Amino acid sequence: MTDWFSLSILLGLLSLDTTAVGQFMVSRAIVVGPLVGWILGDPGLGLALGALVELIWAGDLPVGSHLPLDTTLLAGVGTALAVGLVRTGVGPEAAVTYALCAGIPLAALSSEAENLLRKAYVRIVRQAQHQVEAGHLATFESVNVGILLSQWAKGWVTAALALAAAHGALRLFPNLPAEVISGLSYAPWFLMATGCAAALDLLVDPKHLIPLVVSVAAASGLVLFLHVPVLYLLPVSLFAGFFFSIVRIRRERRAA
Amino acid sequence: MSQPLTAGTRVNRYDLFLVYLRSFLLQSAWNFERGLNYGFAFALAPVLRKLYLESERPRSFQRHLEYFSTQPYLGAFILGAVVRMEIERAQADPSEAQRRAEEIHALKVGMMGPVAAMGDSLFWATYRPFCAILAVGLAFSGALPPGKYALLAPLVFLLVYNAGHLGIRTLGFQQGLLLGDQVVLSLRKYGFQEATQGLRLAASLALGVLIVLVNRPQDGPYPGLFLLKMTFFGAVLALYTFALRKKVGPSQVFYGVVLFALLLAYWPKLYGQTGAVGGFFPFMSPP
Repeated sequence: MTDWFSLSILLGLLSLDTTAVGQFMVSRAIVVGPLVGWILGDPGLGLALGALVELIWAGDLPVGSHLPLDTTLLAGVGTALAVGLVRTGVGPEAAVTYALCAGIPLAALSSEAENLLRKAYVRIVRQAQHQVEAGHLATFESVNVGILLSQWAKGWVTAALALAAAHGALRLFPNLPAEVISGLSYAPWFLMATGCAAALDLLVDPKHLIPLVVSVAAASGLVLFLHVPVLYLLPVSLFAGFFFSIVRIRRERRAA
Repeated sequence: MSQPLTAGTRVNRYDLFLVYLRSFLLQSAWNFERGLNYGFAFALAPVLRKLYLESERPRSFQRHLEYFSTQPYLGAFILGAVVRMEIERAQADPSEAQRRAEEIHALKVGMMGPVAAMGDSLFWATYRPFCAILAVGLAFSGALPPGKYALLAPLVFLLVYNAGHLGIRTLGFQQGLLLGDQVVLSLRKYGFQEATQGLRLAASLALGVLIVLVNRPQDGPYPGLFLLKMTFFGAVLALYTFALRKKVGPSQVFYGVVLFALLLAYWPKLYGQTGAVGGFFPFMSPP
């Protein structure tokens, strides 16, 4: 239980990074998952879950007034639930899928709470403006402390409630039919395809489709027929990407 | 235009450093009515306090409480430029004060939209997923031994991402301070749109490698099985890309995928064949 209490405080602090403080991306699922997993003794499981969340929701961007799903909470609470399931002997693939299924509605509720908070900030900022008009500039600046505290409190409370709900979901798992558990263990491969699709949808313009196909073909050939260690593939692809980009930029600049 | 800032003003480097630090709180009071207005005024406060007499200060703050919304990292270019313009306004002849205030307002209004579009495209839609693909690719490369070494993937993500993030923020603030209302030239000079295109090409190639890493045979070279998996993966990927392009949300796609996997489990030939998917995550500790 101490774990759950300290976890909710930690998730509240990490949630500040989402919008309010710095945006160093310590609140991203690929960081929160392994971090929570490490605290609970299984960073690999946290990485598995965090990687899926990071890719699948890669295209859910905070553009304009759109509020994306709270993936900080999804990764944190999902990892805690998945670790709890694996401790009871459930396979990691099924545990990750089940934890995500249970975590998404909780993350959506947390996003709604954030929405309400932002509506409340309209009034708070108006009051801060009145303080400026009255010449109380120190009060105007101190409003930020209250805002940051409210953000952290929102992150803490939603994480604590979500962890409690996840605890309930943990107890439900043994009641699932064997076929369902089997199906949950197939899902990560499909989910990784979904994640790659989300990244493709976000990053790959029609003009980059041919380089993508060439990359898949080249990497497959290098692994299968030339037995190149897979560790070298990513640096090679990055080098090729930056090399061709520089060549193209130079050509375009010369033409201009 | 690029004379030292501190000459003849009471604003010192420490005040500028405070503004830079406060720029990390630009979005703290993000609200639907006026966006980042509070954060912008809060960030400028150390300079405004120094530049204006007590009687003038409230008005100087109020000028920055109008609607303002932009991308927080590239917003540092605007913030730096506004600091410089405020210093110049405070030093200028009082008869010019109104005109200079209007110029500051015009710069903010004129730049916030294009900077937001450029920053959203570069950071949210390109650089962050690019760093994520690197981290996930590292995890699936099999290079990370099981256990605490899994933390290396997020560490790589944070290091690569923040090298770009902090570099651009610092550069933007410096360029804004140096160039004032001419800062837009600096935005063109650094070619952020070209950088976005370059990163997209690199990310496309890295994504291709990630697809191979996810599907490669774990325990030996089986070209037939690999090609079968790749073909099926490609079909599934194309289907999901189509769904996402049709504006189906990622959460709906997620549940659709899980439902499909559950239906597969009820197919008698597949039920219980968890060996086909067991060990999907190469960085997991063995049970």
